[in-house]
Amino acid sequence: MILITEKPIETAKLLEQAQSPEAGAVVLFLGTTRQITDGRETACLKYEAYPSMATKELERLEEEARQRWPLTACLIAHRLGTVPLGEASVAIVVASAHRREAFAAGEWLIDTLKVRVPIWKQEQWADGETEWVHPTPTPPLAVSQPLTDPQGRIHTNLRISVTDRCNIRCFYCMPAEKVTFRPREELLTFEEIEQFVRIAATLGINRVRLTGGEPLVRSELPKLVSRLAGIPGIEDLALTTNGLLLAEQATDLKSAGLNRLNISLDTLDEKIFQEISRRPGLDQVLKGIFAAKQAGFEKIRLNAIAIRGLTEHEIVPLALFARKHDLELRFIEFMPLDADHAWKEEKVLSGESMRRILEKAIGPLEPVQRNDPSQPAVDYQFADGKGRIGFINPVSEPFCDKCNRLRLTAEGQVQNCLFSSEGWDARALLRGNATDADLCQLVRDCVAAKQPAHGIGEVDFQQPPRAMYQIGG
Amino acid sequence: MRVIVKLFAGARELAGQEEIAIELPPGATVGQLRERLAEDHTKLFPLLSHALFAIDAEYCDNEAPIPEFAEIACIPPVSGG
Repeated sequence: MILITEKPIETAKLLEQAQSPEAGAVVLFLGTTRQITDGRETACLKYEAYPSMATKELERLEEEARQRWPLTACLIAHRLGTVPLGEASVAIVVASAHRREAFAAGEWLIDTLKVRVPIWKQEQWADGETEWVHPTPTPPLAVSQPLTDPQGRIHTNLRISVTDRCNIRCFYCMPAEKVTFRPREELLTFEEIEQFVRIAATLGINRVRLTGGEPLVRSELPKLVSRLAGIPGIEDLALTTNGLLLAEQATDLKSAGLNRLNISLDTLDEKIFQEISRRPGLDQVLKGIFAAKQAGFEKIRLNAIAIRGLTEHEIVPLALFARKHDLELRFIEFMPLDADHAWKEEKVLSGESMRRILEKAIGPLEPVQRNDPSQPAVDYQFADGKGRIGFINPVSEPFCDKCNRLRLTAEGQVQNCLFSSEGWDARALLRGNATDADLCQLVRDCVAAKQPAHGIGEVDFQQPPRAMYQIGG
Repeated sequence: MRVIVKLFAGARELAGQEEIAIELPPGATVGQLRERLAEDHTKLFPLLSHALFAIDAEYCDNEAPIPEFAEIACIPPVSGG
């Protein structure tokens, strides 16, 4: 909600509007008239606006904030005319399920408002002089312009593959044998990844997920985590792993600053595990899951592949396991990214049919309200309140229209879609004499070229030449 | 074509008026408007190099052509909040 008013801002009313059962945190920011600035006394401030444009820009800020963070409320009020000492010229109220997002959105809103919205203040000094405030130089607008593609999708999410290597060979991703991996020198170094993320953060990227291959086979990964965790603007740092090496690394990852973990678990049966991954190791994965809980990770998510004719029998045991250990479970439809090119549309086991299996075996599932529209999962909760199940249905229910993701492959190519065969070579810039501005432009070019949708199921769809492990799942 | 430029805050105060009318060739760009303002309204000079321009209440850059009858605004560095 946007309000431009000549009257005092009624903050209590704004707060009341922001509070709701969905919100777990409500943050209020007030900009108020200060008496002393650099030793000089202010009597009051006077504000004026270019009203039609100020309204438009404020509405745009609200829209962008809602796309960047899962907000349950966002209210911006600006007062015009005379604002006496101690009174508010601006009020921003944001509400979210958790405080981290609410604080981040509030700070971004006031910072961006101050450089973008056509409103001006005039100092009314106590000695009788007046002075319009025009901070110079104006920060370049581009800095605060988000990564928006031609469809209007704002990109805030970056998935970084840290290696194409893996310690298992799941058929939906890799070939069983004779895998050619990239030589080490082709992979981005930790310094290069850090530099890329620093620049991406200035473009509005605020969530980062590390993937692979298997990210934990990259040596000293916690060192990269701690470098990335310290970058201003990165609010969420997550990792997707197969769990095999997690038991030995969970504590280090947690203390390096990793916020969240997704662990792939397709089955609870060692025989099926070996059929899928063509290597042994289910016990080791389970140890990894428990070690992660022990290390203090909250809301650990299990990702399971859903393939017709293979995973029907795994659905119920996985759901019971997740309920028992208080883990979130997500089923992901089989996507045409397998190295063996064995994907067929008939093999996709849809979220809808899995939901029916679960309801029959365990009990009714109720939809859970989503507060982040860019989250691809459709979440359900068992009616008894125990256990949360999500379905990611990229094939049967594409979520391309909400996609806010960019990808950085292990060898430094920026991609705008998992199903795109085009890459923008960030490594060449990182290793050449390019400036930060050049890298920003490369990322913007990549976003500008994003297609409206992945096109699976359309007649001219072509499976990308690279398999999932080579892009980063 | 005749272009009316809205002025705000310090820019209005420097110019001593709320609007400036300027005659420009059809299809002129914001960059050309900027140059003309600097030549004809020297008082605006201190703010002009830092000011942005808006066409129909949208920020635009120097390359943007000015459509006939559009609302043009000179936006000196903003200081809301």
